[in-house]
Amino acid sequence: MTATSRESANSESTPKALVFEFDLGIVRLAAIKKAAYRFTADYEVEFKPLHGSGVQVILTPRRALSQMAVLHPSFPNEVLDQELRELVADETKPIRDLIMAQTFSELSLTDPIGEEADYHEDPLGILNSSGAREKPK
Amino acid sequence: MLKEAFGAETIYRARMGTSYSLLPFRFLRLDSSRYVLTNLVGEYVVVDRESLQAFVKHKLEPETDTYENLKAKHFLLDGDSTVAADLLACKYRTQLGTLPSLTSLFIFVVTLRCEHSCPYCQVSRQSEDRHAFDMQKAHAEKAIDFVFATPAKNVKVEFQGGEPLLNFDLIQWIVERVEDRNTVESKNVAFVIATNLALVTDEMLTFCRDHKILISTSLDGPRDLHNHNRPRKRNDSYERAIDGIERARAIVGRDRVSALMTTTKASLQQPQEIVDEYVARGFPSIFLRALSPYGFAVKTRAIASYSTAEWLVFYRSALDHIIYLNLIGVRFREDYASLLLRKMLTPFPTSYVDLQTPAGVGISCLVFNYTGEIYASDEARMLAEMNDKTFRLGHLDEDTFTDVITSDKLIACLETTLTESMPMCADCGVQPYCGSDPVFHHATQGDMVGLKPTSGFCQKNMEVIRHLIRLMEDDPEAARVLRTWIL
Repeated sequence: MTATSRESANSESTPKALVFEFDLGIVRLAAIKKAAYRFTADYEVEFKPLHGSGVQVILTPRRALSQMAVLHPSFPNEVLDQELRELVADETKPIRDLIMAQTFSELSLTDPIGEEADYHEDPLGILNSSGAREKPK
Repeated sequence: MLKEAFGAETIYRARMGTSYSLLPFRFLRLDSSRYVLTNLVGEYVVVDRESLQAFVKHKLEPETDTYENLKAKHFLLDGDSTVAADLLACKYRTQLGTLPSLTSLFIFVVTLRCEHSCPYCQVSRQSEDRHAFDMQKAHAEKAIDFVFATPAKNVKVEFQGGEPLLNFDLIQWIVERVEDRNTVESKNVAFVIATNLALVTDEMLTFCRDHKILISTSLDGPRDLHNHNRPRKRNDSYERAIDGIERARAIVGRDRVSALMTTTKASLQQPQEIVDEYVARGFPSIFLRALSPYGFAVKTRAIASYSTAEWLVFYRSALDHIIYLNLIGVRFREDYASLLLRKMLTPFPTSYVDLQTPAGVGISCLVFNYTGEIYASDEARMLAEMNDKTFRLGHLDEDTFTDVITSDKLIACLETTLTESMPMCADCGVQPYCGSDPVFHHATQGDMVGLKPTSGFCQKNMEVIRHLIRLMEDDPEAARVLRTWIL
């Protein structure tokens, strides 16, 4: 992933654009798009495919701002944050779906014994006299 | 027996292995070095970036405080217990628990007439002699059918305008009609009148006392500011408001009178003075509100007179002053912060329409305009006075409660504006605390989903929530005060 800047043709009257290149083998396109979306208040966003598995993102300020010091560390970090979010979403999708199903169901899907058994019978072995806890069945 | 039931302390300190799995969470940058992580139900933990990366990569050490906090607040599952998933489901169910009750707030716009001339008026009032802008009794009767058709056990009937006291006869009729029907229906009904109190009489207040009607009035701040914001022919809006408040308290009851303020450009310079006015008048709290983009606030360009960023400066200054007052022994709270803190620190829902997902329009609130038209929220009917009826859900002459609640228009609006699925909201770290406001985004951006990078609603909520979290994390004294505001 690289971040470069280039001068526009008429640098006195038009704002500078910033160009970033990402390797899609390292970060996902969805992460880059979501990061770019967050900058659309202040920047025009353009995507261009690169040879191989790369993509170029061009951010052109909507106004003549002196924002180079602000943007340079900010956009790549936002892309990394979005990549992290994608990782978390992928990993937690099954458990999230289970929790959602449990939320909207009147049944216990995660611990049917713990929720529905008669507690007088101590189904989870809480009163085990050895003091050792047994894992939920 | 208890001694036998609990094992030795070492049992609870032992770890069943070192691996863990992630539970669903979102995160948001808090400042240059920290992130706030929120789980499905809004419990949060603040960590640095290195800890966040280690956590996601399953490299967080089990013996660290960060690990213990993440485990305690249901961000991970390890070999010790699987109860976290159950607890998350239970808490999420609690948060959504009021949804099946559907609409609980019914607003009756009994008249659009008003004797004030507020340039920021969001309802596009009409002059007081124009009775064509009064609600008809036949429509009020049909609106009462809606009040008793909702599944909600607890309902609120709120009278608004214009200035609703200009049609007090109808208010009396509605209250008595509702009470009469409720002898059979047995709902818990609360009444509120939103009034400037300039025209209130002792007879009106006696009626309010006898029927337990709450009074909600407007107080923008000290005298000069209030009169500047709320012009009247004799420039006496403040004096009438204060007189009305005192008389209402004397007759209706001190705790049955509340006030709301609206922030104008003139207000921005006086955050402490506005708070001090509320304290001096004996109110227990203040709701710091920005201008909404409706009605005369748009026509007079009052809405364009300051930015969200400027309002946030005002808000933080006022909040700091309120916290200071608490620390010197004055019990006083800020109501918007209270709502957010309830969502941040408890699994319990709030009824505030603007902080709900699915959006509160229609399913939390219905508005019966003086014309008989039915709107999804108070802001929706303000928009209608600007000739935009996008959020008109029906008419009392044509539609029932079921027709309105199951209408394609309402369902489509709710479906497309869930914060769980809107761009930028879906993965936002403060999504559990925020809400969907389709009317605001339609009014300001022409799209009820909205473009969040340019959304004033998004900017406001993100920064207020960030500010509250920073106070909770970095200022123990402020945190102690804020915890007392959870209602």
